[in-house]
Amino acid sequence: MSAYPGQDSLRTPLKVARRFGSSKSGVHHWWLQRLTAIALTPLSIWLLFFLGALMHVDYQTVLTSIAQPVHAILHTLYTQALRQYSKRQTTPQVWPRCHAHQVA
Amino acid sequence: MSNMRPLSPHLSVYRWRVNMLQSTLHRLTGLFLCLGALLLAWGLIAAASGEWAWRVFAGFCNSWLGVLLLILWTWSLLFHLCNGIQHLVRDMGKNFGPPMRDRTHEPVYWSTGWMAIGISVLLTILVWLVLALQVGGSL
Repeated sequence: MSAYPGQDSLRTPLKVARRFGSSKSGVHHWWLQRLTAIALTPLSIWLLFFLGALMHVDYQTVLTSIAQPVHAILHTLYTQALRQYSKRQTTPQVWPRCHAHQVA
Repeated sequence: MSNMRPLSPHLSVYRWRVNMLQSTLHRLTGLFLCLGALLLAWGLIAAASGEWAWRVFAGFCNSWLGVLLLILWTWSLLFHLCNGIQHLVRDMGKNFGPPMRDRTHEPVYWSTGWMAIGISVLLTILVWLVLALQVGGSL
């Protein structure tokens, strides 16, 4: 019945298209990508040193190393930054129909 | 029947540049680092579970497959790190002007690409040399 994809009944194509722009959460995405990338730079270097020190030590030493406040905090920061960073890399920004926000 | 219609230009119209290799490696190392993140999660869960679980994890890391994965993971991390820093610098607009973009002017744009690859390889060798010396008791 309609000549345009996604068009129902008497809505004009513009009314249908207006919801699907690329700029919904682009700035948020960009900032989180940048911040986590910058945060992961020193954290990755720490991780290499931390894991290097954990090799060839017994289980109790591993536990006490992870339990040290500095390492525990850095480990938490690393895993959370990594989680956010990986999420930014795998979520496409221009993915129109998955971001169907309601427009008032 | 051969297709006589003109083809639109594809990748073959570009001269080969090191940034093509960097781009591919950045994605491949990114994918490989996902595997490394799983290994890291296994290690943390094993450490939280108890000594037996940790021994299984440590045993895997000491096997030839584990060591191979760890060496590849180290290089992936270091390449992703070096190339990521270059991404951050270029995103600020550094070395991005027209004279910097072509080999006929200033080679800095391309040489930094080779540097990112070279430094990551050197750092990987350094890390595993230090680890080997640690095991040998020299450090």
